Amino acid sequence: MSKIALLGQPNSGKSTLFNALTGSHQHVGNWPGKTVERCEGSYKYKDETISVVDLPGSYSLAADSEEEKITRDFIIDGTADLIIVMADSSQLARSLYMLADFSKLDAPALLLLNMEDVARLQGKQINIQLLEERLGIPVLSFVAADRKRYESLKEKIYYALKNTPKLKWDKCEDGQEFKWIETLLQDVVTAKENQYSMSKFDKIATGRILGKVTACIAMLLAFACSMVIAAPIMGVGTMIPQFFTPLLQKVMDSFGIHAFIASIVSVLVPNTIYFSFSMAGFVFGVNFVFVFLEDIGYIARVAYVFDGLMSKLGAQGKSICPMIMGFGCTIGGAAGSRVIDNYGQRLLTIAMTWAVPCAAIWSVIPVLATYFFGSGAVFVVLGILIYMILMITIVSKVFGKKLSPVEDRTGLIMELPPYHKVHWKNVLYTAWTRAFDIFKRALRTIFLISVLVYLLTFSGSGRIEDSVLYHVGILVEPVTKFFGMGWQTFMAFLSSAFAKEAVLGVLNAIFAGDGSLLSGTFEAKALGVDSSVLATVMPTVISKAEALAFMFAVSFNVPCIMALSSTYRETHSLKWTVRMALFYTGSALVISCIIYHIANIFL
Amino acid sequence: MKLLETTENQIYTLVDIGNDAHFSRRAKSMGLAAGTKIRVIRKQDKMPILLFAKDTLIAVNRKDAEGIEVNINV
Repeated sequence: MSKIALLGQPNSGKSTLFNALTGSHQHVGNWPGKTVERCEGSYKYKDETISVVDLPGSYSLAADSEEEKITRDFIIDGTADLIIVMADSSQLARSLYMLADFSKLDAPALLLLNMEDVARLQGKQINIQLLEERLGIPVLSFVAADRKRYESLKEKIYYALKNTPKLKWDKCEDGQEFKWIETLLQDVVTAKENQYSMSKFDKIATGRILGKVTACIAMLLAFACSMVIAAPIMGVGTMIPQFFTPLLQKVMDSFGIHAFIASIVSVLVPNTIYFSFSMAGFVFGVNFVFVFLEDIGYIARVAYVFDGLMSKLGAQGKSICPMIMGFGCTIGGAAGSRVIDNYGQRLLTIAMTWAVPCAAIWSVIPVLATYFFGSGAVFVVLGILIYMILMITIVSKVFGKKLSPVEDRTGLIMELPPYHKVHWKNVLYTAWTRAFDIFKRALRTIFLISVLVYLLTFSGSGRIEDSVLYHVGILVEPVTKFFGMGWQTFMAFLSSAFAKEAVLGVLNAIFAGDGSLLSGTFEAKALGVDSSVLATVMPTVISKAEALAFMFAVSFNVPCIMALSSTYRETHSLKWTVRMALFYTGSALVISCIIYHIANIFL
Repeated sequence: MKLLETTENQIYTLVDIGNDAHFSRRAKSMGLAAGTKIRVIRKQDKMPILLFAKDTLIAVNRKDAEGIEVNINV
């Protein structure tokens, strides 16, 4: 099997190329012992399987960062039979820098000049033949987002693999990169002289204040669009348990199957499929919008206006996108973090996004806060927002050290690409493969966790007192009391890690005796909650201090299992997902403890 | 003069990228090296400077712009 590797700067269209070449035949992991992502995949052409390694995005081969070291070593190693070096046709004088650097190493290569469509629009013409003659390696004019062009690329790679072409042009000497490029490009590029001027929209998009406002509006619109796209898919998902649960229940009953097994089949299985389905629907929506925004070149503007703020947190400007998305849904945040090209910073961004309370929390907290504090609920919400900022800062300190080492952080210097026309097929295809991928993998994760929750909440009689969770809750209550939660709130706290909406469902099951814990947890979204009973009964049992502590604990607990599972998917690191989960559970208990004891003095 | 002291829409030539090796290598990979002709596109308070060089719009943060020396082109 032949092996090719993709080499290019971030934003060169490298990941688009990788995804289009390998489709769903890819596996993502980490380079051994490094927090750098390793993407490998394969495709078939003329009965030959060609494996593709996506080298970590790096600006040069100077070995300044972990990514660059890996990339450099990999090329020197000679593991790859062919290196695809990518450059941007619309700005060859700059983007051939990677090739200049690459010429210092001795490896077979093919030069791919991406963004041919942009170059053409700008009136640039490139003499490919002349360039090919000079370099001695195959050169191909290309548009990575245009799926029609891949046949010719695959053919070119196929023949290049047989000849292992190497650069015959002089090696570039250190420090002479631009001179090298200039000599190489002599008579190769003909361009109309046109002076750059910034468009009106770009003036707004890059404005200090207006740019940030635009970016926030764009993200909220992106969330709304994702929801619109996802809603029908999720709607179909909702019908799965609605339709199958009663049906399966009846079938189970008619066979006289024990309730324990019967509920697994009738409640657990349809709900797992429903959760995975909704999740995939949402991931599809988010990816669709984000790939679109990236494709047209807008995300780079967001990165620019938010760099100052985000770099203080060890992340990059683009990190604001998933974080704002997090107000809607943490899954969207995790999925949206794909726009971040640096793996460590992507992990850090997801970790910070977890601190942003999602829409489900915002639907629960004001309700609960009003039960206990009436109009004072506004201050609870305000307090949660303030603590969110604090929590993000803490997370950036705790996780930033390892995920975004200070010595690797450079001040912003980035390219703002010209706005492009959107390639719809590419947007659709990428969104679809990501959503399908998450659906396949989420099924297993969600099922396993659901079984666990099921075992804890199942009660043969339907009464809460017969569930394992109740006994555990009572047993550990002396401990949880210290953290500010009695068994009722602690159970709701635990179930909030399953699904945030479950909080009301579980409390309802406990206080109103309405429905079992099982249905409170699993069917919280579908079941109505009798708020009048909750509103009157709960405040008589739970103190205000406990309620306040509980609301903070729920808001800053680990996100729901779907978000957890998509975090695991995006990071493909069990280690980091578990670390984050432990940190959030721990810190939720700590904040609950602190708030409880302080509030006890005043309330 | 320093890149920070430039005016919008003027053309300059980069003379020195500064002492930070890490940054200057990154700048070079983006097309900014001694001798590169640049046009300053936008300078806003507290925002990275936007300049146009080698067919590309590039943003450079203010801290590093302090260390970049340019000559005005006449």
